This record gives sequence, structure tokens and C-alpha cells, in this order.
Amino acid sequence: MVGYTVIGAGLAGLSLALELRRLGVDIEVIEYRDYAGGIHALIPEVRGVINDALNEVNIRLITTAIKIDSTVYEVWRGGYRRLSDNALVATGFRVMTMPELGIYGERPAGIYPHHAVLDMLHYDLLPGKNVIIYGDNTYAISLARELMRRGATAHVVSPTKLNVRTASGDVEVIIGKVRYVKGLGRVERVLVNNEWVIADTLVISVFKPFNPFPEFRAVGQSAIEIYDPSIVIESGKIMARELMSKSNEFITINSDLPIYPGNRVSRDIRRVIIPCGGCRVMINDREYVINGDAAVIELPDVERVSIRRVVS
Amino acid sequence: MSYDVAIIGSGVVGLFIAYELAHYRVRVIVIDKETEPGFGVSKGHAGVVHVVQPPFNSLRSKLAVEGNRLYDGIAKRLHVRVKRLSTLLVAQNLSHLIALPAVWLILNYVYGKRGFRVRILGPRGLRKREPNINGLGAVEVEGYGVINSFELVSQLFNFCRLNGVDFAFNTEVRSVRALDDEFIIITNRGEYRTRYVINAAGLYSADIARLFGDEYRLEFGKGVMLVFWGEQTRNIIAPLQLIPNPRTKGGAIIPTVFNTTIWGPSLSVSGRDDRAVNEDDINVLARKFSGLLRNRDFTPIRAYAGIRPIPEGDDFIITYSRLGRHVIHLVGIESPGLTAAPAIAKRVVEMLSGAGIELVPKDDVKEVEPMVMTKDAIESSGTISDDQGEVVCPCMGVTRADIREAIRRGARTLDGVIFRTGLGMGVCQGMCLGRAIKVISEELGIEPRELTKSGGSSWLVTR
Repeated sequence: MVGYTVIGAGLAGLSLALELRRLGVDIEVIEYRDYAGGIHALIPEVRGVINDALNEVNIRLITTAIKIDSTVYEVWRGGYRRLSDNALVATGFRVMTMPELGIYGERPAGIYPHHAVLDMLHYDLLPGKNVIIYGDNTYAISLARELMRRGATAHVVSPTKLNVRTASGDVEVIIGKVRYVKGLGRVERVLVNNEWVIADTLVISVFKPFNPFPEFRAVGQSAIEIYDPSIVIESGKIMARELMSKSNEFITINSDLPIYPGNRVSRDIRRVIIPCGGCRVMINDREYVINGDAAVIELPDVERVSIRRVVS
Repeated sequence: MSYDVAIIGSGVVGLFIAYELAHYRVRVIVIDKETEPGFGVSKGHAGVVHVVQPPFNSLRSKLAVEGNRLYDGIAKRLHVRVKRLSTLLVAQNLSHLIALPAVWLILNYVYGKRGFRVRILGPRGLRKREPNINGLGAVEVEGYGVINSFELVSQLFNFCRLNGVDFAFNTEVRSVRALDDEFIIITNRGEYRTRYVINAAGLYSADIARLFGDEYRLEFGKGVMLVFWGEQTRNIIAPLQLIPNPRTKGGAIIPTVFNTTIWGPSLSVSGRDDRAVNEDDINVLARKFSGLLRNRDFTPIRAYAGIRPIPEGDDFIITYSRLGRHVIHLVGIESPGLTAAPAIAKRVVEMLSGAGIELVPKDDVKEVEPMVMTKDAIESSGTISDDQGEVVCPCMGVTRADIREAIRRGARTLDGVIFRTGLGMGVCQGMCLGRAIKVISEELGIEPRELTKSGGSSWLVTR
């Protein structure tokens, strides 16, 4: 008997599954690709966690959740079943769309979402020889590094200044905005700020949390915009403990910031993630400074908690 | 190879003509320079079945009305999704509201006469009909439709193939030689002999006409469409314009059959190959439509541009060549070309008859099967095979079996698969493309490096 179905074998899904497993719950993790790791497949520092999970957790590859009308099904080679409340979403970020990013111009072959390129690399294919990766995060950098390792030219264009955590090392980073793409058959040129850059490929690595099945609870990057793998892992652990909590007492959170896992948490867990990079927040009467892009915070053991961003 | 009729152009117009001719014992070939059918004008519109078009006495208005009436039957026969709905012209200010009765009077006279019901909606009626629309009232015109135009093209193509129509893709017509009783069409891939020629070459129709010594001037108009994830309205919504400009189609908020919403098209002058979406185009659409909606919290997922061939005189040109009645030109078939196409085809077949072609009906016309996706099988609680359970694109629920079916129905490129399955068209932006490229190549029996997005230089991956 399966207790929970976790949709997605990325870092968050695996961390959630591992924790549930350790709490003695039956789980299955389903993954639409034929490999686990998702967006973290190229990140060496989390390889250990992923490998642990692969050993301990039941992962069903080439198995997917899809929505037909308003029903969610789990589908695998040769069968399907309806998913009910015991499903958990760990499908991760989506990439932002071209209209959201304000990238205009033509739409030739060679514009790919980050995830598509990870799959290409997995199949020993290259998206192109001269690649621009548009993103301001560690995933963009590691993708560039991997492409270079395989003999392609790769540059990262970052819409914002990269933070300290995202060491670019040997990868050349241009700070700027991608504005326009030219190319009739294939990408030929990309306008970065006001300068045309020759490229045959544009990879979009600007991300946004996205839960394709909002009827289910979500972990990791499908719920919160976080780029720190340790916090992704933590979100899985928090969700696992919330699900298993036997306490009937809750803390109600009144917050002007989004809080993970939500505004009502179990009193015996009391752990939340506040995704607010560089913020100062008041939690009841204590002030916290959030370094990095989010922080895991232990709430005071009281019925009501107020979380306010301090604007200085 | 010798044919009775050669159709140049496999857009929706050329395909509908071939579809009509496939019912008769004539040998037909469709020639197109693109890799697949419908890769020209037909892939850049909004998929709307229109009603009366201004100017009301034009050929295109007449054919649109006729075509509109034919669509339900065609959609049913070819198993193409079409959704009937109304267009609401929304009054946004007091002067619009005051003008509503007059607008109703005119539209009712013009549209009502042709069988399209027109009525006035007050504020409450509008609110009830379109809860997400801001407005003081509206004039509603019934009889519009939205159609899965990709499915239409694919099913027409397969109907034609099934009934003996030949197709030559990647085949560009270079010149034509007129003999006594036939033409030799010289292409980059050999010669075709034919007794009759139909020029349905869309953006290139003036160039093809010139090969026969006929001169037409075409301008090109670009229409940009912005696609949102999710349904914003139930009907087609346009702001009421009291001074209609016949050159701007004006655009609308259009609920598609894909559970997405299109804003557009805009209209600007462009070149023939200019499908670039510019910031201005998007701003025009945003200015025009965002004020109409109460809830605007929708994710824009894609913007695309279509090119329309605008003829001199601003009406469809459907005529015999000056060279003789064995050549028929269709020049400047722009909006509402999709709507009019079934009626255009009937007209062209009559013209062929008038030119002396003998049309003997076939007694063994075969029908096309509906394209059944894995999603449909699951929804009807059927069993699924291994490959039906291998989901390649989770966002749109497209499986390996669906990709194979798309290929069986003629897809040779990534776009061909996308148009037939919806793969990568969702909010996920083709996050599945890496895997899709691999699976499509496997199913086509080619190397991933050989697969293209839409033919030509549109390669996808390398090593």
C-alpha cells in the first residue's frame, strides 16, 4: 500500500521522500524522465543526497502525472490511475516565458528552456555550438560549464548582478538583458542590452515556482523561489514532518511575506522557510536578517505569529 | 508524371480545393515549397471562423458567410474540434453605450439578413454572459467559431492522401512552360505535367501568377498575437469601435480550443518574411485589451506573428488567368481566408468545370479517422499500451504513441508534431523538448541532428 506519491524525483521530491521513508511512511516517487536529479543533475554538491535517495527510495522512472480536464492521473508504460489527495508536487521551477521576460523578435529553432538542455546533455546531444544562457543563478553557471566541457562555446547573460553564492569561476558572465532574437531558420543573433551577440542557441534559465497541480501540496522550487540546494532539501523535510505531525495544535501565521509551508503550521514542527533574499524580518518581537535567498526559521512556541518585513 | 490539376500551395485554401477535387476522378497534385502542409499563412492566424466582413458587399464577405455555414459539417466529417461562440462588441464608455442601439440597428440589418443573430446586452446581461469583462454593455453577434486549425490542416491533408491526391513538399516552382493542351511546371525537384493549374500560393501568389504573365501587386501585413495560458472569456470580445477602419481587423480577445486565450491580431505593414514580434506590437495589444478584463492575472506564454497577403483593391482575387481558363489564380486570400476556404474551394471547382474539366464523382471516397490522443483514451477509461503510457511532454500530456500517430499523419518536423499534438505549447514552454527531439527522431527513424523545427536551416541539436 502506497502512502504518498511524490511527483518529481528532483532534489525536493527526493528529500521529501527520504524523510517520509525515515518516518516510516510508504512512498513512491514518480519521474517523467528516465533519470533522477532534475535541475540539480549537474550540481556536484548535492550528488550525495540524490544518491542516498536513489538507494533508499522507490523511484519509478518514465512515470508521470498529467492533468486531463480537472483530474490528475499517474501514467506509466501500460497503465494509469487516478491520483487523489496523497499526491505531493515536486515538479520544480518552470522557466519564465518570452513575453514575461520581454524578449522580442523572431522564433527560430534554437531557443530552449533550461530543462530541455539538461535532457539533451543526458542523451549526449548539444543544443548548439555557440550558446547564450540567460539566467542569474547557479544553474545557469553550471550549465554553461558543462556545455564548455563538452566543447561548445557558452556565455551566461545575467539580468541582475550575480550574488556571492553563485561563483561563476571560469564562466564568462555578461550583466544585461536579452531583448531580441534574430534568425529565420535557426537563432543567428541575440540582442543583449544594445549589442548584438552572435549565437546559435539561446537557453532560458530564468525561473519561477510553478505547481501544475495546485490541488496538491508542493515542495521545493514548485512552491518557493529558492536557489540554495540546502533550503530545497529542508523544504522536503519540513513538508514530510508536517504531513506526519500528530499534533492537533497549530500556529497561525500572519505574514506580509509568502511563508513555506503555509500560514498554518504544526506546533510540534514550528519550522518555516521565508524566501526573501537580503530581507530583515520581525517575527513577533525578534528581528532576523536573511542572508542568501531564503532562511529556515524556528518559530516561537505560541499560537499566533506575526511576520513583518522591516523596511529601512 | 502527368496530372489533371496541379495546386500550388498546401495552405488551408489549397488543401480545401484538393479536398473537393478528391471526390472526383481526377488526378491531383499539390506542390509546396515548405516541408509540410499549412506552414505558410495558415500557421499564423488566430483560428477564428468569422461571419460577415466589411465591406459587406465584397467577395470575401460573401465567401466568409458561405464558408461559415459549411464549417460544422466539415468539422464533423473530418473530426476537427470547432467551438461555436459569439462576438461581443463591448461599450467601454458612455458615448459607446449611447451608440449601442444605432450599432445594433446597422449590424442587425447587415448580419441579421445573412442569418447571424444580433442583440444588445445591458450591463447586467454582459456581466452574466462574461463575468470577467468590464463594460457598460455590448452588442452580441452570434455565429462565430474557433477551430483547431492545425488539426483541420492535418485532417484535410490526410483525407486528400487517402483519396489519391499526390503531394510534393520541399518543392519550389521555378518556371512554367505552356504547351498546346498542358503545362509543364518546372521545380527544384523535377517537372510536373498538368492540364489545369490552381495558384493558391498565398504570400507567393503574385510571383506564381507572374510565371503565367499575370501581374498582381501584393502588400504584406503582419498580425501579432499574444497567447495566454487559461481561458479569460467565454466568447470573442472586442472593444466597440464607432469609426471602423476596414484596414485594421482590430483584433479581439479570443478563447481558443486549446484552453488558451489569444489577444490579437494587431496589424502592421511588414515584409513577406518578417515574422518578428516587436515590443510595439505587444504594447498595442496590451493597451487595447487589458482594460476590458477584470481579472488579468494570466501568464502570457507566447507571442507569434502571421503574415497576410493584402491585394490591391482589398478583396480576394479569384480569377482565370489572362492566358486562358486552364489557370486559376487565388491572390490575396487573407483574413477571413480560413473561414472562406471551404466556399473558395467550391467556387474554384465550379470554375474548373466552367473551364471544361470533366468531373466524374468517385463512388469509393474514403473517410479519415479521428486523431485519438492518449489523453482521450484515458479520459474514456480505456486501456493503454506501453507507448501510450510513455509521457514525453507532461505539461500537455503528450505520449510517445501520440508522437507516432502525428508522424503517421504526416508530421516530418518538430513543428509538425507540435501542431498535431500540442507538445510544448503549454505554460511549460517546451521544457520537454530535449526528450521530445530524441523520441521524435527515434519514431522517424532519423538521427536527432537531422530533425528540424520546420525544414530548411532550422536544425535543432548537434553533437
